[in-house]
Amino acid sequence: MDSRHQDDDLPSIDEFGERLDKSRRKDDAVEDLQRSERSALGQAFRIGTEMLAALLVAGALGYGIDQLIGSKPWFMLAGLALGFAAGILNVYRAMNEMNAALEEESKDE
Amino acid sequence: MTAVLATLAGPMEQFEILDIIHLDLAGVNISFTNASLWMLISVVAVSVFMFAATNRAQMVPGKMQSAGESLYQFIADMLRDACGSEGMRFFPYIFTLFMFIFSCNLLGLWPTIPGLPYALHTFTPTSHIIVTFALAMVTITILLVYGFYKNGIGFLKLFVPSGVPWWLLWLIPLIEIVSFISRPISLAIRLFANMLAGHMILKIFAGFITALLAAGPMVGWLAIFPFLGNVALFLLELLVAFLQAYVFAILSSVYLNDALHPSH
Repeated sequence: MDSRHQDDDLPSIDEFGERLDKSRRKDDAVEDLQRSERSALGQAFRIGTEMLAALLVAGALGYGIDQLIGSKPWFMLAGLALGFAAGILNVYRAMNEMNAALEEESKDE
Repeated sequence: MTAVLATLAGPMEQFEILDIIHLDLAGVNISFTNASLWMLISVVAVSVFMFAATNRAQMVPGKMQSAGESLYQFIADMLRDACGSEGMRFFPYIFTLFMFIFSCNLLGLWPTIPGLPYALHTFTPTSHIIVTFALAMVTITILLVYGFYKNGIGFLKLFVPSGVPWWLLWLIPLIEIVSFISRPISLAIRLFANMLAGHMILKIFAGFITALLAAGPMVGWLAIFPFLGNVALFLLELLVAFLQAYVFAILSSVYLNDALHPSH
């Protein structure tokens, strides 16, 4: 009698599992939301700086060479062109990573 | 009145480096500054947090322990996604990096305690590009040292992607090298620019509030708008504090992946 009373009071394993699943799903939803927020803002900023950094580096290198051998402004111009190419490469790689991450995520679901 | 004057001071003043203890080593200024102080505070805060989280670890974790464990899990998953299980050898570094940047960003949002000497006002070390650049250079140094150690001279294949036609072999490595050098710069700029811009906007809006309040009762009530704006911005800054620490950590692990697998 006593043991049956306890069974009535406590949720069965199935019920407990269901509740656990439910609360876990809620966590996932929150996480998904956070993830999309995070990545939208982060991605936008990432693309911008990738491009800028490559232009800065190559432009500065070209300018440095110009200063050294007095060939203003040709190496800086070549550097900027090179920086543009490298920036596009950076952006291309960043987008590839983001796509891969996105595909991974949709595969999980 | 002094409080009003302090907020009306320019939005850039909060980034000024001030000596707390002046030190000099053979003509080189190695003073203990407010930047050093806030980095020290971050390190202490992270250590105390992690110690509290791991102290008396239990099967069913308490609040502290589960906060610590979820951060650990979060970074471990991120690193494993970026570098595979081999990449876990970088975990101590990446986790330290993330926790340090995150706590610097977060503590920088703490309001200055009124009445403290001016040099002790709240300061965000990560809003200085030299700090973020130094952190980025640590990542790149680990990448270079470990890359050459593991792959030898073959690490240079990083700059020559496979399948490049011979007549492009002079150009592609140049582009790859520029792209490589731009990595620490983009890491540094991203974190620094985010923190700098966020703190400047907060300060400017706060300046609007005091200016409007000082302008008299007719327009004083308008101060509610920049105030609400600042509340919203502050929430955004909390997100940015986390986001930028996360981005710095994930990009560091993506770059370190090149040391493990140098061919693109």
